[in-house]
Amino acid sequence: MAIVRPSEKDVADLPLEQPVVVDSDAPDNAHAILEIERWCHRLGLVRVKENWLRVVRTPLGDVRRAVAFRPAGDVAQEYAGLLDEIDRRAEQMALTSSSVGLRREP
Amino acid sequence: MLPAMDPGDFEAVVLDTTVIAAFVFNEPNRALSRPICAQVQSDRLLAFVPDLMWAELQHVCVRKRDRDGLTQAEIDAAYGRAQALPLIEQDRTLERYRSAAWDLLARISGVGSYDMYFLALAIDLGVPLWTFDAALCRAVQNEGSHAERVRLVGGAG
Repeated sequence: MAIVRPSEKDVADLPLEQPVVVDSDAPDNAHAILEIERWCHRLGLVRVKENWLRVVRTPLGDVRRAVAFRPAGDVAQEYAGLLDEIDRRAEQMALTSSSVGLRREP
Repeated sequence: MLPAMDPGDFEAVVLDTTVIAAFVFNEPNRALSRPICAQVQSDRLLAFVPDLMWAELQHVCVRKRDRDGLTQAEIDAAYGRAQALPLIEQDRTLERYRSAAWDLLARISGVGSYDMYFLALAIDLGVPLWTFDAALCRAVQNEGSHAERVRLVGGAG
């Protein structure tokens, strides 16, 4: 299981926000995402959020393909609004039992 | 060129249904699940779930309607909030982990069969399983061979 392309050298001077294709030969979607995320994180890149990677047939075998980029700012800020909205709606609901017990009830 | 991030900052986990439900509903553990889901939303935590999680979450939803008195509209909305989380789903988990889950069930007492699919996914990916289920943590830790794989959120497990 490895990152098939690009090489670390290829992305060393990648300009901010410029997309780069990242291919993994991991055997399934979850392993491929985990491998690509670890690789991106180590190199200061961010994977574009896509939960099902496209499988691409290459002469060397099938790979799962993601797109990544070097962020210009803090990507965490982009999602702050969504979290606030979930908070607002959840807190409007009545307090209910913990799902720890509920998921075992028939 | 920007400096690379510290690899130690990266964390990947399997989240069980209890953590997700606590965030999308108003549950006693919501304050503990909120920072976890915030990290998932902001790309700081990579969260995997088996596809079976959706069946378990649906069960929790209808129990909250039938037992706790939430309306169908309320559980629809909560279910939608869970779907909006950027969870990475492992598909075909029954097929992939049937044997592994059965082996785990043979060795670990006092756990549900679905739990062992979550644990099998965590073992396969080499990441921890985070849960609010203290009994699950105790059972896995008592058995020993995967004691380090399960973490009780907000607890010492």
